[in-house]
Amino acid sequence: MSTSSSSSKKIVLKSADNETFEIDEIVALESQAIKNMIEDECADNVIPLGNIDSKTLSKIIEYCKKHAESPKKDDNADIDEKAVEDLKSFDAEFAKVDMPLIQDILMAANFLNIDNLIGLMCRTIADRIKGKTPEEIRKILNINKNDLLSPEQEAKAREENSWAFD
Amino acid sequence: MAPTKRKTKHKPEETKVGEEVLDLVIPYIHNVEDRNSLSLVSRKCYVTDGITRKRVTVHTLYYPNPAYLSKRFPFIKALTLKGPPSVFTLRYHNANNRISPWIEQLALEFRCLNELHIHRLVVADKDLETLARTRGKDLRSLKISKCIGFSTDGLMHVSNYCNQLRTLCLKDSDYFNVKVGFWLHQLALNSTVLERIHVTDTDISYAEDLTLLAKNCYNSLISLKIGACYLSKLGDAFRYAVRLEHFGGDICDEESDLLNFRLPPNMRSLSIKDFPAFRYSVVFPFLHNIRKLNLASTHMDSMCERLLINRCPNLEVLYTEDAYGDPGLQIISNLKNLRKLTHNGRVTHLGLMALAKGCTKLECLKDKKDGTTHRPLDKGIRRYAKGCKKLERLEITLWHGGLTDVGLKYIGKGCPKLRRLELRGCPFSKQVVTRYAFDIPFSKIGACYLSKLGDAFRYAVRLEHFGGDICDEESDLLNFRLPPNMRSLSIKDFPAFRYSVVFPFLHNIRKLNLASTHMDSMCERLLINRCPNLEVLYTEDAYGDPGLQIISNLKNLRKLTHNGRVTHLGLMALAKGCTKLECLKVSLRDISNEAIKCVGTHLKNLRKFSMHHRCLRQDKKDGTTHRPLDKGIRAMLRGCKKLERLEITLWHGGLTDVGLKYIGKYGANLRSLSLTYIGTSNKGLVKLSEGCPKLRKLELRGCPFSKQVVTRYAFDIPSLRYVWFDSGEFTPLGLTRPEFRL
Repeated sequence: MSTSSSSSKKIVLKSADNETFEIDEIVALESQAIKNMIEDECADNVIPLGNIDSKTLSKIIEYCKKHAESPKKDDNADIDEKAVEDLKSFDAEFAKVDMPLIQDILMAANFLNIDNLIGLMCRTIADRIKGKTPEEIRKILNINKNDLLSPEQEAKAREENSWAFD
Repeated sequence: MAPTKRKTKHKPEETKVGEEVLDLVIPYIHNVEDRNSLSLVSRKCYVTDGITRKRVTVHTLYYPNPAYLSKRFPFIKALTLKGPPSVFTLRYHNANNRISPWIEQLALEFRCLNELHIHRLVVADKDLETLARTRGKDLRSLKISKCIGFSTDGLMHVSNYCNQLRTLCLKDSDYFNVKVGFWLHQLALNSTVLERIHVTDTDISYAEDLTLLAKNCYNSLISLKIGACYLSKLGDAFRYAVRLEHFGGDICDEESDLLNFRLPPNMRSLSIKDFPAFRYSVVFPFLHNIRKLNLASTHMDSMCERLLINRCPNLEVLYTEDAYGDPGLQIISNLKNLRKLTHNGRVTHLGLMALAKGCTKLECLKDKKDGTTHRPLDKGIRRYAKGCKKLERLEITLWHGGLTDVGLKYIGKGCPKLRRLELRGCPFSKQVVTRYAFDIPFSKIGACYLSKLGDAFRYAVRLEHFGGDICDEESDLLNFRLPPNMRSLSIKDFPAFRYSVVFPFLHNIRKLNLASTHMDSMCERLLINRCPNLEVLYTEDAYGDPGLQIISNLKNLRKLTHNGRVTHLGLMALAKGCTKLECLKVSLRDISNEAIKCVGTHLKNLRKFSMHHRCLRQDKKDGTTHRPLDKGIRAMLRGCKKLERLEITLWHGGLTDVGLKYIGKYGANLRSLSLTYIGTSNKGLVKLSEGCPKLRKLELRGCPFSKQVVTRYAFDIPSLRYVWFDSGEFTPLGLTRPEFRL
């Protein structure tokens, strides 16, 4: 794929709080959803993203830029180790944000259909709830308590969990 | 993190986001413990976990309800059924060990199941028949390991119906050969997609069947492991199995010729117990492609082994029991691509040097060396480090003085990727060496002077953990600093008075291990005082009660192991101060109801509590130790609701039958209980058995219970898996549910 950014087409994204972001088309293509829009020729003007705030959107653009710049695996079988390492450390650094933002990024990435980013955020969350108790998980993910198991159900599930499935 | 941060949004939406997020995240969570926790988060999570779990392992002994499992996890793809632990296998033929109820359920439910692994259970021919008839066409993988009870008749059904099997493994199972090789013949006839077949413990020297199998599965067969075999009879099978990559077998010596013999072109890995290499030089040309070689037998002829290794120039992984010492390593050193070597033979520095010169790609070396020579291995290590730039893990067992400073320096300088270094048996002396070892995040060394570590610490920006025996000395610590990421210290001694310059850096230390019994108490107290953020502390002695007083200032302490002798007063101070404690181990000179009660009042997060009274002579001066502690225990258990593990050592009468009753009644979350010198009569155990609903493991030592009562009542606790009973009067009794005996 071409990387001549100067001549490439620009795409404008608008966040929920009405901030606009002009990005290269190649960056936007990281999102399968936007890619489809472009292919269907309905991305001529501004693409409004009514459910993504500017803070989240700018993080997502940061991610897409970096990944669009990096050589793709399937392009070239022998890309140098350094590029892979570089991308890895970028991802690790990128994921070092607080949980509410991670959740926002994940939901937005899910909406925009950016596979790699969904994976990265899911792995990050999975990492953070590793070894935690149910109560701690509820707290970390801010899950409401209207939908708890009944005491009998919980007791039964606990018993099975601790006895049979380990 | 504060959940209130997302202030701009509506509250109900936040919680919804959490659940939507979990829907996306759940497929990324594979760890069973995490899955189990997740299933308890909410109703929705329980359901989502249930329908998304793909693999489940069940201990059939403790979970006899297959129907419920299929209701909870209807879509599992892989099921592992496990029998009792190996120590209890003596009474193997037990109705509870039968797999029949599970097979019956498998026949009806679990529509997505395609992998079944049965481990240490009794499998009847009838079970195999039912399984094969109902689910045979779905199964992709069937492993029956360490099982008994079936015969080749049962396997015949597998051969007839399971024609989609990719993997069939009968490892260490013991089955009757009724119609010896007939099942294999049938399997060979019916299979076209088998990828892995492992039947090491069967005598399947039926070469025709193997040949037929290879012919029918020529496009799929990747791995073949069999028992004793003759190479000459495998020729045809190998010719057909063009995709075969792994072969394992015990090759017997024979007289035949290997005319036109060849190994399959993709063969990459061999595990062989014996190989009469001299006779089979015809095989040599084919060894060129072998990447992995496992020579697991100690009886293999050294000359054969050397010959064999010599002929595998592209080896990447080698396991060997003995390659003829140094000459063997010399040969191994020709393996330019070797990444991983496990070598259990005896070698000297010459061998090591040769290895380093040759195997520059080595990433992992596990080696044992005995002091057959007394010369240090420095030169060897130097070459080694120079050569093996990619080394990530180095574990060597050496003899005293096996490596000096110089050698360690070479390791530190030479192995930039090293993440873990363990050199057992080398008392590294001075700083010159350590400086080079410290760029490795996890480093352990021996005695050292702090003043000489300064430079090392300045370089070692990644260092997180340091362990060493810091000696007293006269020098100044000018400009000394600890690395910025240092979180954990294990030190044997520390002359704290002299080194106040270190104190500011101790602020970040989370974990402190003061393992030595000889540490100066004053120093220890000073040190602990300067680590206000400690979360984990291990100490042999902190000056008794005054020491505990200091420890009680550590507000973040979660885990304390304290091996000094303290009194009930110290324990009380501790409980009042360190309210975040989750694990506590103390040794007591005396103890009172009040002190134990105090633990219950303050330590609400306590999960493990270990309390050992170690005083033979009961001190009656203050009236503390000779009174039963029943009431204290009750108060403690009422307070520490999260307690999962409890270990108590007292004196006879220290806890009466009433106390045992309390443990039963209030130990609602106890999973493991160890009692030494506890109780006054059998009645206590009976009372205990009425409670503790979650107890899995019970240890009784020196308690006045009779064998009969233990066998009769302990298993009234519904969750109990194991009992260990040692009264000193007869041989210890190990019991597991329901009536196995050790």
